[in-house]
Amino acid sequence: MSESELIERAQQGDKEAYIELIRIHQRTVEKFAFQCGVHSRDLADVSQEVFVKLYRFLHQFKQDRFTTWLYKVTLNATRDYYRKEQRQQAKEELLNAQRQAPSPSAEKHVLNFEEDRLLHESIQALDEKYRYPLVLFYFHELKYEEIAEVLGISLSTVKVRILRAKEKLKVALTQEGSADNG
Amino acid sequence: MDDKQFDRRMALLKKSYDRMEQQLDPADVFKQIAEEEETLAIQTLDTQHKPSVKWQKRIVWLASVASVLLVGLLASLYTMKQQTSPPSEIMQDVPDKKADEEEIADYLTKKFNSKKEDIRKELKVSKDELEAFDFIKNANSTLDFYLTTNLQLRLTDKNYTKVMEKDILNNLMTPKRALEKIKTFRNLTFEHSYAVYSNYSMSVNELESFYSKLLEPYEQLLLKPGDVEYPADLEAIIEAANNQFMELKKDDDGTFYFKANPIDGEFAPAYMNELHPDILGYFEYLQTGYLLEVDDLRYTREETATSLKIMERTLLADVNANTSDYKLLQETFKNTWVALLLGTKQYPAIADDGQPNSDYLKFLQDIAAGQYGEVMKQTAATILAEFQQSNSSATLSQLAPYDIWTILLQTREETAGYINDSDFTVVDLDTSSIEQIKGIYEQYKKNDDEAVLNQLHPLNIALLYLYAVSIGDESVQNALLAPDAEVDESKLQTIESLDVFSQLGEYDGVNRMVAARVAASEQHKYGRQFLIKFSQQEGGYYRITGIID
Repeated sequence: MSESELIERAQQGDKEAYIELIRIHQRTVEKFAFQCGVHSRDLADVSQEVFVKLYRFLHQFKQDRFTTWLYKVTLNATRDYYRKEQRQQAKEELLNAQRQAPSPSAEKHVLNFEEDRLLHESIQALDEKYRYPLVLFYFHELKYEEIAEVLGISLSTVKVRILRAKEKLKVALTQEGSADNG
Repeated sequence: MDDKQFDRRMALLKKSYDRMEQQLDPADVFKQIAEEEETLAIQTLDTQHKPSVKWQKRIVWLASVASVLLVGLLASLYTMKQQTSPPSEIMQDVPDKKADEEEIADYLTKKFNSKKEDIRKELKVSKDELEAFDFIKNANSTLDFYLTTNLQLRLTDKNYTKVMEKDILNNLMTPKRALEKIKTFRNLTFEHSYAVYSNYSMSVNELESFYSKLLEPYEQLLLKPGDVEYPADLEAIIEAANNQFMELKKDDDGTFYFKANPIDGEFAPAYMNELHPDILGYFEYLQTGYLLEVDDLRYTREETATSLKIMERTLLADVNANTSDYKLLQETFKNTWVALLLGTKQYPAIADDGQPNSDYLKFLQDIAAGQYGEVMKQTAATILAEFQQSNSSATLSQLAPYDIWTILLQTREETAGYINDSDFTVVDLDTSSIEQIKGIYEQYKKNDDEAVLNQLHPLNIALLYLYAVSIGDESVQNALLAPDAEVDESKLQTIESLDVFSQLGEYDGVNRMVAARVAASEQHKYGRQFLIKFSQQEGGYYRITGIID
């Protein structure tokens, strides 16, 4: 069954069709959420939120660009997660009255190679306006036009931001390399 | 690192990402959907069809029957499970688990009780009085929750005991303890300040009421003028309340009460300055409460508007607009502003002769001048202008809380753009960009071809407009303005060179905006920046709709 048929069936209330849609897209959602900064232990929760939201608004969806829509919803869920996480973290830091050491890198379970982990962390350190276009371009192979639509920014802004993200990342990686060597 | 090396590392990372294990079980999605729908159904039942007492009795009866059946079912499932599980597993597991659980429960309860006793002494209350406080009851339920429900989880997560302990003990909080946490920090972020506020707000209002009630027997004594020596009991009450930043006050009816003011009150600690200033609106609301009574204001008009100004800053700054604290503040803000502008019994807008009151007009002028914040400035100016023209105001007669909320939302976006530099894509204004804009100007001037302007990006439209101002070309300025544009030209028109500006920043939110940053050496004359607002016209191109200095 094609994706558009699955969407159509899901819109008519066919749960099996929706479960099939989840199976097709959950990897993309989890990867994107992780790349946007969601902790690996929270990926299941965030992607669950995404698919519950999608289900609620499924009737509003028109056949074109399901993936773009999926990315937008994931991005919003990620931002909500961020806010909650930051507020919680702030509260915990205060209540402990001392800043806690960062928790051991959870990415270890997800990324096996040290080099990958370093690059992943450098991407996480980028400002989100640079991080999101970069992630969509390099890891999801979206076109500039698609990125512009997902992020709601102009085409030229997408280009500029990817370029700057790349520059910033190169600097970070070079500094890291020299720190490791020195 | 060259582009090739970079791309290769990114490709390798992509491969690693692609190998990630999937974590979501699709069945959980439908479980959540079903749970949400059930909650929604219950809420709908509660709000729309409140059943009669007779029906409630039937529902209770049905629920009892259902619960008996459910318990029966669970019991049979449990027995079945026991029968199918290997007996050795039960023998080995249960005693160890139980011993561990008892030990940890004992440890947590002791710690909890010891902190509770410290709080009792701090508040100078009896054990019964302490246990009657809602914030203590909440803390007790947190302890119960962990001890009865979640203790077994400890065995699967080493950090769980720590998290549990923290959560349980942190619920035991007094206003003093909440604010004292600030001592260990400097210049708190908004998020940290919010955490302080939420801990502080846990108990402050309840303790204010408690100590105020204790004053009742001493009312006559407190009313006596001059230096009166108070009995030790009263002294102890006052001391305990002062210790929580509360001041002894008297209302218009001559009733004494306590009110906490940790921000600028008599007992305000110096470290409160470390809080982020944007948080103060929440503290203001805790202190003032709802600003409206049934038919009037609770404070004077000026005091009310000043409180709203403090709340406005928080409403504009807090990005987390879906908390109940935020919603409460927002309700207060919009309803109170509507009451202030429409006029109240004590402060009517319109006099008996149908003319606007002179003190009301003066109040409008103060709002329009920005004395009470940014959000209502424009609305007050419009109402004032309408009154001056025709002694009536259409804006005022149609004003509703929703309008105030819309203005607040709009200002939120603009302010976010204004104050948060990271929202702008900034470019330096160098010789080459000035030369480029001169080229565009010349090209347009050849035959006033609008197509040249229509293809320009907001950033270049802004620069072209500023260039036209600097050389005094009004026709180009007008060509770049939308028909209903509002431009405050007083300062802008004195600019004679683009050297005044150092950078242009573009904000691409819902409302397009360009900030023209003034060079440091010129800021004493022109201020920090001009904000140029845009709207997209029907043909898809941009025009300037407003300039704010």
